[in-house]
Amino acid sequence: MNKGKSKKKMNSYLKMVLIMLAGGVVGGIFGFVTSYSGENSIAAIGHGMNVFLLAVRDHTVLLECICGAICIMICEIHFGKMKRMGSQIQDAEDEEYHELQYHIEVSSSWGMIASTVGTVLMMLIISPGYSMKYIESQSDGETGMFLAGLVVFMGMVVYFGMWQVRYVKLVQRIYPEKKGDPASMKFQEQWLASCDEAEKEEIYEASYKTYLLTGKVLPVCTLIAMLLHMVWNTGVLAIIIPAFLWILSASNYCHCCVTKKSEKLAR
Amino acid sequence: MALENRLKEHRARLGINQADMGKLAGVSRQTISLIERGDYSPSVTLALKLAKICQVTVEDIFTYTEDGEDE
Repeated sequence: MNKGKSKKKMNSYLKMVLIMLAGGVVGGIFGFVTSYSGENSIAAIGHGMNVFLLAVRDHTVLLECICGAICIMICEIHFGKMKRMGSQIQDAEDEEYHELQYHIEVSSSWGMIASTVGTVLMMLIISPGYSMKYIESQSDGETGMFLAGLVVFMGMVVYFGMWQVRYVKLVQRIYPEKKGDPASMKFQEQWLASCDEAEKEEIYEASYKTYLLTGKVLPVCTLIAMLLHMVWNTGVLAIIIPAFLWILSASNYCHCCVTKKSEKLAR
Repeated sequence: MALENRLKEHRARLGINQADMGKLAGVSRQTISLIERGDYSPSVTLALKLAKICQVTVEDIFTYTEDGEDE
């Protein structure tokens, strides 16, 4: 039995070494490609990125309107669907209820994703022009365009924020047992407190899966930021942010586990 | 390992719907629906509550079977 255990242990160590070696090989290939492809091609990619960012900056209002309109459309279509299904579910029989509940979940997920993506896209689109150096270098007319972009940005962010409040209110109409004021800072706690054991289990499972995903994505983001800084000098801040979030995520998870155990110990 | 249940039958015997059963047990209609479909195994507390509402024992509602026990 011990032999099997040590074999299993060896395999885990070997696996870890192989993963690290694979990482080294990928890094080596990246270094080789960047050094042998010449400074010209690296500069060309960097130039291409700059052209793209300049294009985004020059068409801020247009891009905000297009992306915002698509996200608003998705939000409203699914809000309407939820509203219709919400009124049907009240009188639904057992099987129909189960099906409608699933479709409400799907529509609410689409709406939530669209409102989040919409908010993030607005921030990404406004970012290339959101610099004092750029604003000060512009003529009055160009600054006016940037300000128009800023107005659209604020309008969209307010809309998506309000959509989420409407969404919570609608869910509370469909499932009256759900409590919580969406404008409150303690909304998540209030919502969770109104959930029963099956709903809590679903939330905990989804949260844990999200934590696992974050644990995979953040190290990759940190590594990519390091490589990009090496080649295009993208800045240390781009490395610090994912690295900080990585530490925060891991330490907060451990903190929550210890707190939970200490609560049990104190009883 | 499987937890089978006859909650739907007992609920029908009492003549109440899922929403009313949920209210009596202090859970949502969704949870009652999930239990009846076998998609959720309730906690011991909830299983006892449901048995009390149906005026039967927990074993009358829930049956636990090991994998391959029926084979």
